[in-house]
Amino acid sequence: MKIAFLEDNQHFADETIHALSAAGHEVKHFLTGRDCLKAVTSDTFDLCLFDWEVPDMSGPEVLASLKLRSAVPPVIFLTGHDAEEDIVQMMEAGADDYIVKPPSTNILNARINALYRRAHPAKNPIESVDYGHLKVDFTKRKFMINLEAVKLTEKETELALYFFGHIDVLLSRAHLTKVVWGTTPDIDTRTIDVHVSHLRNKLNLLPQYGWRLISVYHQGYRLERLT
Amino acid sequence: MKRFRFNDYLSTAAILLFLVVFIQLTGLLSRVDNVLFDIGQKWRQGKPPADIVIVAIDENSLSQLGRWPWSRQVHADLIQRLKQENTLAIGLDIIFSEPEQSNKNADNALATAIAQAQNVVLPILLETTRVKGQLIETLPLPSLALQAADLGRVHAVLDEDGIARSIYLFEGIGAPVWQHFSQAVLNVATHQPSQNQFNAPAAQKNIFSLIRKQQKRVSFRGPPGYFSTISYAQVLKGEFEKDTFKNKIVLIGATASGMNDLLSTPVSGLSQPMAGVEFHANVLDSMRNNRLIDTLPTVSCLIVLIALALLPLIWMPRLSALKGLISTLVYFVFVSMLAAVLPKIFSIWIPPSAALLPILISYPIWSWRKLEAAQRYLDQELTYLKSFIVQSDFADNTVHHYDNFDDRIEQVRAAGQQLRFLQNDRKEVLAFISHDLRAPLASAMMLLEEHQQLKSKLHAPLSQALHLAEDFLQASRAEMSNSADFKELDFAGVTHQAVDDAYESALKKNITLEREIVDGLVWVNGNFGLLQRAILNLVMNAIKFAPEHSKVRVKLSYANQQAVLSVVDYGPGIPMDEQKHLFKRFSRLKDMSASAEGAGLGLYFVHTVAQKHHGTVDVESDIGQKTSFNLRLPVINFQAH
Repeated sequence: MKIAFLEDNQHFADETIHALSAAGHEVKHFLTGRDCLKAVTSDTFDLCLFDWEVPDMSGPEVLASLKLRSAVPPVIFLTGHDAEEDIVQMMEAGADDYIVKPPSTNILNARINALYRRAHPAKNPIESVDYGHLKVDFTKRKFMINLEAVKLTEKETELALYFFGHIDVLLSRAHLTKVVWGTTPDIDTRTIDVHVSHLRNKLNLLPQYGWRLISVYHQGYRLERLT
Repeated sequence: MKRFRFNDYLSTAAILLFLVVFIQLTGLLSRVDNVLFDIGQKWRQGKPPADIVIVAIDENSLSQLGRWPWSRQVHADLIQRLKQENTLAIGLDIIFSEPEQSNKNADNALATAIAQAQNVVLPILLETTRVKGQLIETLPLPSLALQAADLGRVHAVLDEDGIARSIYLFEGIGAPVWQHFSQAVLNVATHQPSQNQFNAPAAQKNIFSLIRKQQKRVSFRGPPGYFSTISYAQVLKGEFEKDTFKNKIVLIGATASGMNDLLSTPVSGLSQPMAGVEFHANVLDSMRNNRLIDTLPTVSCLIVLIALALLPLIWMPRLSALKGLISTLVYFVFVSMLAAVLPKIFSIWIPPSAALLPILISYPIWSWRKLEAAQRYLDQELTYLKSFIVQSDFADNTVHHYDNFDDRIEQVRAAGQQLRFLQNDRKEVLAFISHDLRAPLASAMMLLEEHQQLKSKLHAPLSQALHLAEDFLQASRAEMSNSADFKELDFAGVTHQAVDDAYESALKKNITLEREIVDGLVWVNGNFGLLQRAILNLVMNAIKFAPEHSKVRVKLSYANQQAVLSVVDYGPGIPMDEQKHLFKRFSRLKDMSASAEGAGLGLYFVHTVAQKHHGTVDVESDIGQKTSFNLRLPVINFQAH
C-alpha cells in the first residue's frame, strides 16, 4: 500500500516508517505540510497518515486544502491531543480515524488495513465469516452463537452487519444513522446507543471473545477485533 | 461572612431604633402624623345621624333679625317654640355673661323659657381678659345658669397647625371640674346626671392655672354642612315640617362667618371651616358611639413603632436590590394607611411618623451597611490576592490607597485579569505536557523496543514518566471541565467500555474481571471521556492491589434516580486513617513503593469527575478482606433492555 506520511519529528517518523515498511507498505515521508500537499495532489496514494501539528501547516489545514483540489484517499491523524474537543474537531475536518501517539504497531496496521478494505471492497462479497464462537452470515443476514441463531430486530441486524463489514473502522454517529435508518428524519439521539447496547449483550461483543465495541467520545463507534 | 452579616443586622437595627426613639420623643414629625390622621378622618361613614339638628345663626337669620347680638327675648321665643316640639335636649352655644342693659325683662323671659324647657344646656367659657392676662371662667348669668339643665365647657384643642382635632373631657382653673359642653348635652338627652366634678381636688401649686385631663381625638363624621341644619330665623317663624325636632338633640350656635366661631378641622378644606356648633355635633356623636379616639400611651406606642420600623429587616436581606426597595416602599404606604384608618376602625391613634421615616430610610441604611461590608471584604480579598500573586505581576498603575469603591473594583479587576492570565499560563503548561512532553517520551518508549538491553533498565522509569504526564493532563482536564458541555449518555455503556479497556491488564495478572452491570441503559448527563477514565482508574486501581489469580468485581446498579458503580477487589484493604486522604491530590498509600506508577492523582481525578457530575465517590474497606470504591451519579432515567 502506498502511504503519504506527514510528520515533523524525524525520530518518531523513523520508528513509524520502520513499522509500516515491515508490514509491506510503501511510505513517502514529508517533513512539511507544503511538500506533502504538493505530492498528494500530483501523485496517487492509498492512504494518508498525518501528524496533527506540523510547523508550517497544521494537519487539518493540509486536509482542508486537499479536499478542495481532488479526491482524497482515507486520512488517519496521529496526535498527542486526545481530548474530546480535539477528536471532534478532527472528525469534523473529515478525518476517517485517529491514533493517539505513540501507536502500537498492531493498532497502526489494523486501522490502516481496515480503511484500505473499506476503500477497496472485494469484488466477490464475503458470504460468511466464522469467528469461532460467533458466525456471521452476510447473505442470509444471520448471526449464530454456538450453532444457535441470535434473535435480532431488523435494525439491529442492519447495524450489526454494517459493524462486521467495517471492523476496526471508526464510524461516526451521523454516518451510522444514515446507513441504518436511512431517510427516517430526526431519529432520537438515544436510538443508536440503545441498539449498540443490545448488540453488545446479544452478540457477546466482549474482550474475552476477542471483541470490543467502543464509543469514541460519544462521537462515533468502532467494532474492534482483538488479536 | 456569616458573622459580618450579623453585624450588619445589628448596626442597621441600632440606627433605626435610635431614630424611632429620637423622632418619637422630640415630636419632630408631628405634622406628618397630623396629615395622616386627617387623611383617615376624610373617610366618611354612612348617613348623618337623624337625631341631631343644628339651628344655625346664619347670614339669613342675621339679615332677617338684625345684627348681633340679638335681644334675649328672641332666644326666649326660640326656646319656647322648641319646647312645643318635644326635643330631647337643647344645647344653646351662646354666651350670656352679662345682663342685657336695654331690656331687663329679656333676661327674665329667657330664664323662664329655659326653666320651662327643662332640657337646655348652657356653655361655660374659659378666657383671658387680655393678652397674657389672667384666665377666668365665664359662666352664664346666675339667673340663667340656675335654670339650665346642665352646664358644659365649650372648647376645641387647636394643634400647632391651627387645626382642631381633639378635646379634653375635663377642664377647669385650679381643678378639672367642668365637663365638655357636648358631654353636658348628651347627659341631658340621655337623662344622665351631670359629670361636673365640683369636689375634684384643686391643684396644689398654682390655683390660677388651667388644669385639663383626658385628651381625646374626635372621630369626624363628615365635612361642614354634614349634619342637618336649619336656619334660626326659619325656626322662629315656624317654617319647618312637623316632627323636625321631635325627640332630637338640638344644637343652637353661630355659623355666619362674621361671628368668629369657626374652626379648621381635618374634614374641612381651607376655604370651608367648620362652625363651632358643628364641631360640637361631631364631638357629641363620637361620645355617644364610644368613638372618641385614644392616643396610645408613650411606652406602648414606642414598642409598636420600633416593631414596625424593624420589621423590614426580616425580608430585606433576602431580596434583591430592586425588590428590596419596592417592598420597602409598599410597606411604607401600608403602615401609613394602617395608621390613618386605625382611629376610624378601632378608635385608637398611633402617630406613625417615628416609624415611617426609619422605614423609608431602612433600605438605604441596610445598603450602606452592606456596602461597607462589601468594601471590607474587597479589601481583605485584595490583600489576600496580593499576598499570593507575585507583587511584580500586579499592574503598577493601580492606586494603592483605597479611596473609593471604583479603586477597589479596579484593583479586583486587575487581580482577576492576573488570575485569568495565570490560568491561561496553566493551560499552556498543560498543553506543553500533553504534546511536547508526552510525545518524545512516547518515541523514546518506541525506540526502546529495538534495544532489548536498555529496555529492561529504562522501561520502568520511562513509563513512570509517561504515566505522570498523562495523570497531570487528565486531572487538569477534569478540573477544567464544564458541566454546561455535558451530554446525555449511557453510563452502562461507558462502564462496559472501561472494563473492556482494563481487560488486558487483568489478564496479565490472571485476574478475573466480573461484570455485574444492570441490564439496560442508564442515562446520565456527563462527559464521556472523563467518566470512562474515572471508571478505568477505579478498575486499574483494583487490579493493581488485587492479588494474582483473584477477582475484581465491577457492579453497576440503579435505584432511586441514582446509579451506583462499585469496584470491589479482594486485596489487603486500606486502613481507616488513610481513607480520608485517598481522594486528595498526590495521595499515595504509605506502604506503596516509591517506584509505583502515577503521581497519586488517579483517585483525585475520580473525585473531581464525581463532583463535576454532581455525584460522590467513597470507599469501604475491610482490612485483609476486600475494598469497595463506590461512584454514585444522578441519573436522568433508566431504560431496561
